[in-house]
Amino acid sequence: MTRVARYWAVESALGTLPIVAGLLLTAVWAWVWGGDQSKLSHFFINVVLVVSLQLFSGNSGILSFGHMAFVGTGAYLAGLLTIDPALKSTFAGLPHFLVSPHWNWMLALLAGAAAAGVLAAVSSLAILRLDGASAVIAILALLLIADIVFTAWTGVTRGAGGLYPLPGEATVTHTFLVAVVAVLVARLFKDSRTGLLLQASREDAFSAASVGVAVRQYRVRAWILSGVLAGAGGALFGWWITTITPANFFLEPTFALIVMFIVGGTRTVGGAVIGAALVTLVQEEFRNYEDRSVNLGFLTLHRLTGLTQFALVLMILVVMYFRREGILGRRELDESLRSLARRSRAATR
Amino acid sequence: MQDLTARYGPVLAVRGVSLKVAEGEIVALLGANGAGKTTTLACIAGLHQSRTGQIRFDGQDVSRLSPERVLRRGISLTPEGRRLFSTLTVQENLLLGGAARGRRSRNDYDALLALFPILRERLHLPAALLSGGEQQQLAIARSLMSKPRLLLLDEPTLGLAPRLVRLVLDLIGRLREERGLSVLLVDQNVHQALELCDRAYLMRTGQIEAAGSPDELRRSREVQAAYMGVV
Amino acid sequence: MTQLIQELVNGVSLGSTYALLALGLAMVFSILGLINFAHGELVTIGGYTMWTLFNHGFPWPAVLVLTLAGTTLAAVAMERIAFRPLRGASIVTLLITSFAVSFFIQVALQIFVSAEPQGIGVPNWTDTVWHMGDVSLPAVKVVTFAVTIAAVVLLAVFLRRTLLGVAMRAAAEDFDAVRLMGVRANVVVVAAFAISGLLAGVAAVLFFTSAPGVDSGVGTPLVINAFIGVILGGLGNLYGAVLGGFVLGLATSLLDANLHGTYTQFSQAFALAIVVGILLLRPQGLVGRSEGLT
Repeated sequence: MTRVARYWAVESALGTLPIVAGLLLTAVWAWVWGGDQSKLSHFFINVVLVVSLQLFSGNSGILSFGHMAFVGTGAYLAGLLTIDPALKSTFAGLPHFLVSPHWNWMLALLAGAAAAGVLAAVSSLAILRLDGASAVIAILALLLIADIVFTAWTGVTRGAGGLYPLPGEATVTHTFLVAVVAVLVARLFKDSRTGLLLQASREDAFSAASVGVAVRQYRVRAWILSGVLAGAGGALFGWWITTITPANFFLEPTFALIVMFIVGGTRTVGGAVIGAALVTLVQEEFRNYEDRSVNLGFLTLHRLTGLTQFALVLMILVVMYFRREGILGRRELDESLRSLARRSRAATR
Repeated sequence: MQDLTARYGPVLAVRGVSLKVAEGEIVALLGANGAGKTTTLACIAGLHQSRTGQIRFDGQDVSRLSPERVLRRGISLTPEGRRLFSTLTVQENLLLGGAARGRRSRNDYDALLALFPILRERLHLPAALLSGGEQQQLAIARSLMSKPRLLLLDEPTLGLAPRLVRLVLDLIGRLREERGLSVLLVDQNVHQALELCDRAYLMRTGQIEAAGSPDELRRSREVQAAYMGVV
Repeated sequence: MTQLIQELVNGVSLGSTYALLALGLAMVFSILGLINFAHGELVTIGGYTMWTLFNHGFPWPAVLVLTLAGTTLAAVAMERIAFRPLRGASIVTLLITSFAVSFFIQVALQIFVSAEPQGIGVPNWTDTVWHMGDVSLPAVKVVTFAVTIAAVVLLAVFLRRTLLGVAMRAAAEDFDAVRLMGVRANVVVVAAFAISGLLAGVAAVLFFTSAPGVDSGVGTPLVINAFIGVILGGLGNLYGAVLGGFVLGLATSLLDANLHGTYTQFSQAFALAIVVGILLLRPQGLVGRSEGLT
């Protein structure tokens, strides 16, 4: 690595410190105070997912409605590779090469991530040929196709009935590690040459292309890397939820992912993490209220189904109408801290 | 117009511009590309809202009005590049021009077709199929359908052959004579514009650099510098 | 042969529903750049309206009129409340907001109306089946097709012959220029939404008459298919949207009937694959993207 490149990588990695510190603190706090492990894992998994989305959509400006296709791919493959073969042999229609393996979590996670990467590579041929708005639509088509495949390929995915039981490999340690890796990767990419050039094209694809930026090439790189991360997150997600169905990877989770992405701020990795925190909070807390009834005096609401959904909708509408750039806006946490430090130093001079 | 300042994001395109058009006058707004002329017109027409400053028409403040309201006050903009509805026919374009006035525009429709006979021949053709000169005539006719009292013309001769430039400018002169139309004209053809107008302003990088009668401007150093490269 | 005709009838009927919805989507998209995912919820609202009205014993003509009025009003309200504040925002912002609105309406219906699927009490004569030789044609399906064609023709006439229609076609090409003509932007936009709402209402009436059951999520697969139809036909092109809707409906229906064994579940996937194939060969869609509405 050249000196410049090394400097960049180190500086960028250090930039993730506030986020990593935040994640670490959360983990430690939960461990010490005996907080709910499952909720914590959920949070870290959401971090991986939203950060993967941020890596592509935040830098390229193309909103991906299709990332759940990668998440599902990772979940199904990693899930299948980690289920006890004895159980798997009872699954009718499962191809033999999937029945026998019984891998450890890391290997299975890598396999899931790789499979998602392959899907990303293949889909990039069709999708990234299109310009911005059409690409968004094409990516949505990817989500639709994935849903149909997940539902119909019952031999492998067990269809709408669900694939279970997936082992509980999504421990706090595992998910924390992958979350940190994801954050580092996303931040390094964002500050890398590819990432910066991609951001230039986000602002004005035409100008960027006219100065020789191979926009399409960079988008493909971001897309594939993003897919790999999403696949890894998917593997963890499967283990966390222990039963996966196609609905886990279709419109509602896509919406939740987008809310995470946008609410925190699409331009920054830190924003993505904050978004993940907020949405996880909503998802975990509101879940308890959904089966209850509410008596408002003049009307009684039986079963507040969809309360989580409703809360997410409100969150995103608030952002759309009042602060479209999200909570963190343009600057990463470390960048804001640094400028604060600079300003206070200047003030004291 | 008093002290108009307009911006595109952080960039000030128009800085403190003040100008006047009297009734029945043809006023030319000259200047190189990027001087802020189109933005100025867009502000008057209500298309560009991020600005400060006052615009008054006929004694009334029209600064904050939407394009639809501006038109109803009697100001019509023929935009740069004409912005015709290319998928619509000549007739449909004209009808839309008179949309604000409803039934009453029927008379004008006939009168305008008499004024622009070529349009009558092409009445049912999509606007995209007209030649450059014909399109320009259609654009002006369309603006006239709303019976404006002030016509804002943004580069009406752009891309036209010299003969057609002559035609269009003559037309503008005639409109002023016959209908008492006031015109604010932005054009690159300095010579012809100065021949036609009663008064002119020269803009550069968002500000008015010179103002006066055509003769004064022809002789002024700023115009010579701006267009002839003479210092 | 009779088999084929049956399948075609089914396909054309399904295609009609998609075509009507695609038309509404395309109309709003051409003028505003907004892909309204909440369009499906307009159909759901139509269904719930029918359910309520029939439960209260309203006669068929009244249900018809009130349902159409209901969906049209809902569409106009949607524009006024949810989308007008975002006028001029980017396509992506609008798309996300339309998703949010769609979910919002679904949840609201779940909480305030019913979380369970409901049967709609359509009158019995809607079950009529006509017979042509060996072929049995359910009356509803034939009527669906006829009404759809009539609706498309009426819309075309409206867009060509009325001033508002001409203004809408112009707005699809250059929204700001239309405002320069003195045509009020809001009028054009509201008209577009109203028409899309009316079309959704027609689709709802026809759809629920042949499949009389409604739940809060019924709109989603419909809007997705309508969306695919729009893309297939060429984004923003009205005739394309109608064609796309029909092609998709026919393809899905024919595949559904003819794939054997385990492959039947894949009929939707195959239909989608065909669509993707067509788009790769012809990215601008069957009819092609256009400057204006047509």
